[in-house]
Formats: sequence, C-alpha cells, structure tokens
Amino acid sequence: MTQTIRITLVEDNHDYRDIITLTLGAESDIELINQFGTSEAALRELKAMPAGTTPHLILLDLRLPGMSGLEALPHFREALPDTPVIVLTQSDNEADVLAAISRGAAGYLLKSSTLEKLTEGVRTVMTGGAALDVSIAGFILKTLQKKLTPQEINTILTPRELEILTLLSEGLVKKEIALGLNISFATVDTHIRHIYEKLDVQNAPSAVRKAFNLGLFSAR
Amino acid sequence: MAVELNQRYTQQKTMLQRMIWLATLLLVGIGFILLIDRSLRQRAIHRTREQIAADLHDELSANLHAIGLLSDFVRREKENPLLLDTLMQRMRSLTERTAAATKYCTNMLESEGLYDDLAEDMRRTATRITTDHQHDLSFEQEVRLQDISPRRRIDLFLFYKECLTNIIRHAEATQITTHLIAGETKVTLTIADNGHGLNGEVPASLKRRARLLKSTLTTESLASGGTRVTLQFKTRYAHKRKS
Repeated sequence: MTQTIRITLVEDNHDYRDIITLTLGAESDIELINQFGTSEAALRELKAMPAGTTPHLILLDLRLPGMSGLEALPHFREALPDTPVIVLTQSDNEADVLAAISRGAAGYLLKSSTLEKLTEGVRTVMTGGAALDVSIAGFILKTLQKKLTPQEINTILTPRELEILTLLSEGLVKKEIALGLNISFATVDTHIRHIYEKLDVQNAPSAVRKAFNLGLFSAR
Repeated sequence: MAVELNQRYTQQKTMLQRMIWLATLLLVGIGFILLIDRSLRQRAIHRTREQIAADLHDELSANLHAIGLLSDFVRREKENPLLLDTLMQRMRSLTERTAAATKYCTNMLESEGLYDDLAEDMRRTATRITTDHQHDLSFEQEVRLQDISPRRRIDLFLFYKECLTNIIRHAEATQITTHLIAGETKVTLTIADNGHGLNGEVPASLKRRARLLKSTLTTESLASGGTRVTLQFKTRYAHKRKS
C-alpha cells in the first residue's frame, strides 16, 4: 500500500492515547491525524472537516464519557459512510461484540492486542478485510451458529478444513494445529491455503469472519 | 342509666381498640416505608459504587495495556539507544501513575462510604470526562469537604458529574471552570463553560439533584457566551475543624 492510512482515535484514557499516538506515529504508512476523548467532540469535528481531509479509519473505544462508543457507532457510519470503524476496547463482553458488529464495526480488537496485531488489524481493514481479535472470533463462531445445512457447508469446505478453521479461530497457530490433529505442518499449511482460496480471503481473521457470515460453523 | 353508661363504656373501649390498631398499622406502615427508603438508598449507593469500580477498572486496564504496547514498541526499537532511554522513562512514569491509580482504587473499595475524598474524586472524574477541554478546577477550604454528610457528598458529586456530562454532550464548549467553596456555613459549587448556552430549561436531572441537596440552583448566560451554573446549600460539618 502506498497511501498513508489516516486515522482518528476516540479514546478517553490519556495514557493509552499517548501511547497509541507514539506507537502508530512510528509506522511509516499510518498517520494519527486527530484524537478525541468523547464521541460528541469527534462527531462534531469530523462532520466539519472538508472532504478529502477526513480520516480513512476510526479507532473507537466503547466506554466513553457521555455518548458510549456503541451509541456513537451508527452516527460515525452515517457521518462518514466510507470510513470503517474498528472498535478498540477492553470489553470482551459478548453483548458488546454482537452490538458493535451489528452496528457496522469493521473490526473488533481488544486493547490487550499487541502492537503488531493492532497495526495488522488496521491494514487488514483498509484492504477490505475484517479485524477480529482471535478470542472474539472464537466466541462468534461458537455462539452464532446458523444458516447452512451440513451438506451445504461440505460443498464449501471439507470437514477437515472446517475443523482447521475452527482451531484457527480459537487462536491456535499452524504448528499447534498440526500437533493437535496429528498431521504434518505442511498438510495444515495446504489446508489453510485451500480455505483461503475457497473463501477468497488473505488471512485468518478474514477467513473466520467470512465463515461466520456464511454460517459455516453451524454444523459443528 | 347504668345500662347507658355500660353501653358508652363498651363503645369507647371499641373505639380505643380501633385507634390502637390504627396507630399500630400506621407505625408498621411508617417503618415499612422507612425500610423501603433505606433499601432504595442502599441500592443506589451500590449502583454508584459499581459505576466507580467500573471506571477505575477501565482506567487501570487501559494503563496496563498502554504499558504492554509500550513494551512491544521498546522491543522493536531496541537498536535505537537514544529512543530506548526515553521509552523506558515513559514506561516508568506510566507504571507509577498506574500504581497510584491502583492505590486509589483499593482505598475506594476499602472505604465504608462513597466519595470520602470528594475533591480527589472530582479531579479524577473531571480529568476523564473533560479530556478534550481546557478545565480549570479549584477548591477553597477543601479539607472541610470530608465533613459534609455522606449522603450530601454523594449527591454533590453526582450533580457535578451530571453537569460535566451535559456540557460535553450539548454545550460544544472548549473551556470549563469549576470552583468549589466549602464555606463556614454553606457550600457553593460554580461551573462555567464557554459553550452555546442553555437552550431553555435546566435539565430535569440537575434540578432533581439540586432538590435532593436542598440547595438553590441558579443558571445564567454569560455575556461572553456560555453558561454558569451555581449550586449552593447550607451545611453543618460533622466535625468542626480548626482551620
């Protein structure tokens, strides 16, 4: 990607804001253009920004003074429909996750994420993918199982591929999956490549999100 | 004559018994109402305590995650000794602030009442809520605040928090000034902002809090723009302090 990703941060904790500013500021392709402690101030400023200067992406905390992040999410989507919002919170509460996704969040990352996961999430969303914390993805697939019949699922992914995708969503790496299923690392790698090809995605979070949207986990 | 006297005596006795029953019922009713009131108040205090705990938990966790991010960054910049030194200093000061927040959290959880250190609670809340604003918060005779009755301390704090929330939600202000005076016989809280003023009525929630404090609440539009809210109530401090 050649274009710098312009980010707005909505976060009320001073220290966390400072560190995000410092760490994202060191990324060559990311620029934190502004930050706000409340949704109200962020919405007001973003609506007043001239076209072309608005952010490419918004990082939004949920627990904010005044209007909460969940309340504000639809307002951000309405004000800047083309700007994806990644929720960056410490809440792994199931209701919050579901509400954020249903209100249009393009990603849900926990503040406990590493710097690498955070920047990877930002880049994934900017390339059309979804950023989901692995623990959140695991919860989604476990709790929202519906839509397709086992026969339909098998036409998309083989049972083995589905099994591997489930393990991926639970945060296991290839080596652990290979050990767990008693197969070689290369076999796991091949299965994962096939999963990505079949689902037309580039990485594990996107695969989990797409599988969830398709209801592929319903038969498990 | 004797029969009539007996009849009157019986009637009066019946009336007396009814009165006794009525008085008993009344007393039981009053006791019941007092119990319900006490229970409602305790529930409200419990909810407030939960809210404070959630805020503190949020603050502590965010600080710890910030330290985590900083350590990721340090690892990445390990070949840059100049930057490394600055980063380590930041991590140190962040750790100290987190330790202070932890101590504050522990004190709050261990204290019997709420807002025992009202001034510190107000400072912390103001920092969190008005993070985008230039906020000047000052106190006069701060030491007297802890001798205000616990119930009033809670209501005063909640009034203040409600005011700040209203300002960030509706006023579009950039500057806020808070001044709290714990005078000899009365407490005066003044909150002014440079927003676009109150549109019509004072919010009902503020009026309700002012009523609970048995206080007078005045609002005025400032010539320079913005609003000033003044809350004042008489008080007798629990312990007379030598100032």
